[in-house]
Amino acid sequence: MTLMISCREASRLVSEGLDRDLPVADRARLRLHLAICTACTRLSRQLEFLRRAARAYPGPEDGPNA
Amino acid sequence: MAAPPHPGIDPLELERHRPQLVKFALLHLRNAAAAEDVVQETLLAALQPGAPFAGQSSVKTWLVGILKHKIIDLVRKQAREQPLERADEETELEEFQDAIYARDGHFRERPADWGNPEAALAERRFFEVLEQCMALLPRKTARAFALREVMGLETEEVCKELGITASNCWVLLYRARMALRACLEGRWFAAGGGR
Repeated sequence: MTLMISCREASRLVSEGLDRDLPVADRARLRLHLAICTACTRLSRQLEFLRRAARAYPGPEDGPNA
Repeated sequence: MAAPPHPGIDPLELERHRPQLVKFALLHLRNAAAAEDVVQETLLAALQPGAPFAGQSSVKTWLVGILKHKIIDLVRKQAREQPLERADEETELEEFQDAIYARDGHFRERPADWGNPEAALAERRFFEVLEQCMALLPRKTARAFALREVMGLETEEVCKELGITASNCWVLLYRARMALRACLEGRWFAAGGGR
């Protein structure tokens, strides 16, 4: 398998990386892709943020005095 | 001898949180009767003299903590009794990805710049949008995401609760994340949320 992957493939690895330790080869492919792709770097940060947001759900108190 | 009643926990104060707890439970259970039941159990448990509220966080956070345990118990029970339908995840994945990526593997529409997204975490309205977005996910996808990211279970546990293989589990979580990312972008970040 080639070292160059598409955004389509990279996005799956970004997500899977949040659920398991990626195999070394996949990790290398992803790192290489992220180094040259701003769109996927953005996606990766957004999915990490999504995790923080989900953990914080349901979020701050309702009323001002709650 | 019975322990003394809970100091400082007012049943009315707990009651105030009921609507939000029901909404939280609905996201996971997708069934109004089951959601009301599990919230009722949560409030009763909170009133037990032994309930360990140490004032470590807000009453709401404490209640949500109890509710999470109750929901996980219920999901486990349901998983044993009636496993969710099995879909051909991989075939559907292809179609799912086609909506986001062109044939050559590039984004059809690149993710937008979210600026400083952390600011959204202080906004009540942001979490309402997140809630709406989670409610739009297909049932099984939503459940996988909730168990993994809202409840914080390990992936292995999520797969076990849903009765699916690890790779199906990764696919479900991938789909959930991509759908939620797009939904939050459309309804909050690109819509000028919080600004």
